[in-house]
Amino acid sequence: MARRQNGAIGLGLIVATSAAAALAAPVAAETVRPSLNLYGMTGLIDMPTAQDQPDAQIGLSYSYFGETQRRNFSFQILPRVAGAIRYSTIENWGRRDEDGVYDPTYDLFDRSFDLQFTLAREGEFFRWMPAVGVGFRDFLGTGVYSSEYLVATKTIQDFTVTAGVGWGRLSGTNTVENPFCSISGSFCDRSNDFGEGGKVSFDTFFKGENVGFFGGVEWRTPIEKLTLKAEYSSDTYTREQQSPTSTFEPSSQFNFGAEYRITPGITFGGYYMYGTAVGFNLAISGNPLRPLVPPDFGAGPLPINARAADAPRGAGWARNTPARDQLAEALAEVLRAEGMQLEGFSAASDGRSVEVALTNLRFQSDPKAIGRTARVLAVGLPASVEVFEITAMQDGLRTSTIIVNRTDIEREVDRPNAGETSWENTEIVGATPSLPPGAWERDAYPEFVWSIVPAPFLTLLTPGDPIRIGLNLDATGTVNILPGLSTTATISQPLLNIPNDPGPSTSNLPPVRSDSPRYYADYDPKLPQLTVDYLFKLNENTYGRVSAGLLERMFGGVGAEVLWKPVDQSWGLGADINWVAQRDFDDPFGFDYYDYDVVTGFGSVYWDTGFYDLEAQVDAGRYLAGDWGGTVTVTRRFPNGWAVGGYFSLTDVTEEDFGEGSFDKGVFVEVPFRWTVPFETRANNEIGLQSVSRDGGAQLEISNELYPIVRNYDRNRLSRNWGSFWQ
Amino acid sequence: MRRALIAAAALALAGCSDGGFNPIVVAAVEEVLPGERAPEADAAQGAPITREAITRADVATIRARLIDDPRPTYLFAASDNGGYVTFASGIRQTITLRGSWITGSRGLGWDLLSALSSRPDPLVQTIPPAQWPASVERSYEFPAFAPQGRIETFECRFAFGAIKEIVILQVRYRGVEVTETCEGEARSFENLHFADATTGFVWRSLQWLGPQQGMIDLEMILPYTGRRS
Repeated sequence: MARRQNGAIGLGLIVATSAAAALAAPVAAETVRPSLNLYGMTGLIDMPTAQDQPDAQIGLSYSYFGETQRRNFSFQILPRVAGAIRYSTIENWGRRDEDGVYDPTYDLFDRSFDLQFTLAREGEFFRWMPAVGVGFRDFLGTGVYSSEYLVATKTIQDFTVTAGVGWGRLSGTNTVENPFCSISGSFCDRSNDFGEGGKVSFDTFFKGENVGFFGGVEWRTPIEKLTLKAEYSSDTYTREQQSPTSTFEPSSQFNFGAEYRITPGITFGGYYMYGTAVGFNLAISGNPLRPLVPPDFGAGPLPINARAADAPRGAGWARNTPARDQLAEALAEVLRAEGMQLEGFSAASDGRSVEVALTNLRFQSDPKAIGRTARVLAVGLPASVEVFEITAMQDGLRTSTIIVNRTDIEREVDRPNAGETSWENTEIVGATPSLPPGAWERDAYPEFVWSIVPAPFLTLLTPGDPIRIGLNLDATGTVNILPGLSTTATISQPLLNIPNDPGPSTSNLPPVRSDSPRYYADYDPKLPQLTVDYLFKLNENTYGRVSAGLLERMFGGVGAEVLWKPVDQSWGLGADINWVAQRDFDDPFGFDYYDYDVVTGFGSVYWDTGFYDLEAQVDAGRYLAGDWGGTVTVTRRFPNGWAVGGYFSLTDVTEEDFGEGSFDKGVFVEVPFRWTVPFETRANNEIGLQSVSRDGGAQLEISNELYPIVRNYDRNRLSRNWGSFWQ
Repeated sequence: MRRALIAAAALALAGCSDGGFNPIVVAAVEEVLPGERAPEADAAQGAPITREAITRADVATIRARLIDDPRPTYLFAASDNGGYVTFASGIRQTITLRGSWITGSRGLGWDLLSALSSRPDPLVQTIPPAQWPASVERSYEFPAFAPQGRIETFECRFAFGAIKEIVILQVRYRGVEVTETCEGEARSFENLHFADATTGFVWRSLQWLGPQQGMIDLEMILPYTGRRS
């Protein structure tokens, strides 16, 4: 019941999107944002500052110096809360292998997560007061960068001055005794054993014999877009120098740099680091709340006039089936041109109300589609019709019915504050399972729909192949047999930069995900999906799904799901159960190689918190490897389609059996294509940044789970975009 | 050749489906191959519009040009809802006017959802120049993630300039230039109007549409005088 990513995920468009976001000069004037450091967080060069980015700001950056590369994804999760996920390569890290043989040239590929909290903004409590922040670097990784810090930053004209105190790795030099040692001696001991990593390292926070002081200054020079930086680092990079083959030998704790803002979203910096190394940082930044392009080019909504007072209001047409059907056919044609597909039409016998069921094919915002539909109805329906019941359908499912009064529309259209007024006058209810008997329905079954799309992908964190960007071409065909009943096949043709089969994993668990790279290997066409699906409604608030076939790239079988989600409620409940067998990686229809099957399923709670668009989901049940446990997913889902989320799963798999990372967790981003282009499209792109593909806590990847289909049509979600009803 | 390659790349990026080419492709091809206009755009271009044709058609008409646009667009009155008159272009970009004041726009890039002004507003109701109020308050509503849009309010003061003559589609008008300076909490802007020297009707103005959209040049070709029965 939850999204899960395995090895390969669509990436290209988010990279393109981010790059485009950065390249396109925002139309609106933008103030200069605080800069990012080489960890991708707000900061100087290697050290942090206490400033925060604008809410929801997203950053992608790549930095390199000495023998260290860092690829960072950062996000201003909430005002005052920033986070980053990082994938680092440290050359010549050195290690002993399983036989105890030391390899000095071993390169470390390391994942780490950071969090920073802004305790006070500059001048917030007192005019003179600096910004103050507390941060946790690598609090969830293998501990390579494990450190905590308190930092203060003050802007003085064109200078930004920062000073801070650090624990852990940031206490390498310029130290005094850890003040917390005076509270308890246990604070003086800081363990560097992070086991398999991946756990929150509470037991190390603010511990260690010493704390180190760091600081620096940033100068926004008179040369526009040029910033100079100097800092004193309290990180001595001791571990990086241990290998005899390491060439990184710091001789100074001072770092210097110059950064140039190429566009408001792209910054390039060059640095002289630790008295010995030259480094650079390329940072790309964008904000989901600021679309790249003007969001509304092209056809506006249909102008409408109020009905004339003396317009004939006879209702004979509603009782005359051929006349009604003729009207429905005409409406279908007009709505199709508007970007909606009319699925069904019924009229009350008194001609006062109609229900139209439609699928939004064009508009990213569903209220916009509903508003445009209401306008078509206001123009096209006989004057007797007073009530429009517009049922929004998605994937053949009747979701919610939005009831609007025609007279209200006529009173509100073009007037000030029409959005709020119409919201107050609109009723939203759960759609009935079907149209009334005898209703006009689109005569389209069986219906064949298809698409061919390039599918750029990213594989992350595969040992020996840490980052790979490639391209598949995916062809999908669906036959809609009856409303809600369909069969779908997807064929994926690998095109570019496809990896070879890495061979079997060495997991202690059934390789339900750790073998995923094998399913993406080589240039043979793949069959990621071949299913028969039936989606239906049991009543106004309850949805159902039954699926059978090759459900996803790695598993086939049968499954069923039920979801209870009233439209007026911020939360819903779901349950699913599936019997699946693991598919062969090299035979689209084979199930022999692994000879593994499992019954997996979850009970789920979904909650739209209403707080900064945060959505929470908790799943509890049995996972693909047969382990039992729960998954918590928190997503900030913006009204414009952007989503940034993270999840973790805790199951009864031991840390040792799970392997590196200790338990399953990850981060994902969804980018609506509409955000990047000046015309309507419902296309979406998704990228997952999973810490590592392991077998514990793994769930099925079902393409038509119920909650993602219906969530946009409840009262909360519709309200956030209701302003577009009149657009 | 380069154009063709770009179009092909756009095609590959966007993919296609049974619904015809993805709108991304259509828009991209139109962007890189401007000669290949969409059919509705052709209708919008049409033959040159003359005063005679507009007079003959007897449909209220305005001409509008965003500052960056090389050519103006003609828009024709399509609806009247309580004095809010919506004009639509051939490709259904719309501008809603109250009198000569723009209270809404769609399809131009960044929408102005609605607008409201204090009374009397000489742009909304025709007032001889000598009787114009010193100022009006204007509120603009822009899209936001809520039923109600984001409201920005301005205090706008009028300053009269020289008497001039202008020509709008072959017709000469004599009027006074009026500068309208609007100050708000977050920003300020300046509208420029050409008001009839006698009646005060605003025949032409450069009006603010919003922080992202900027200014639009509006000319009243054939003013709206009322809804036909």
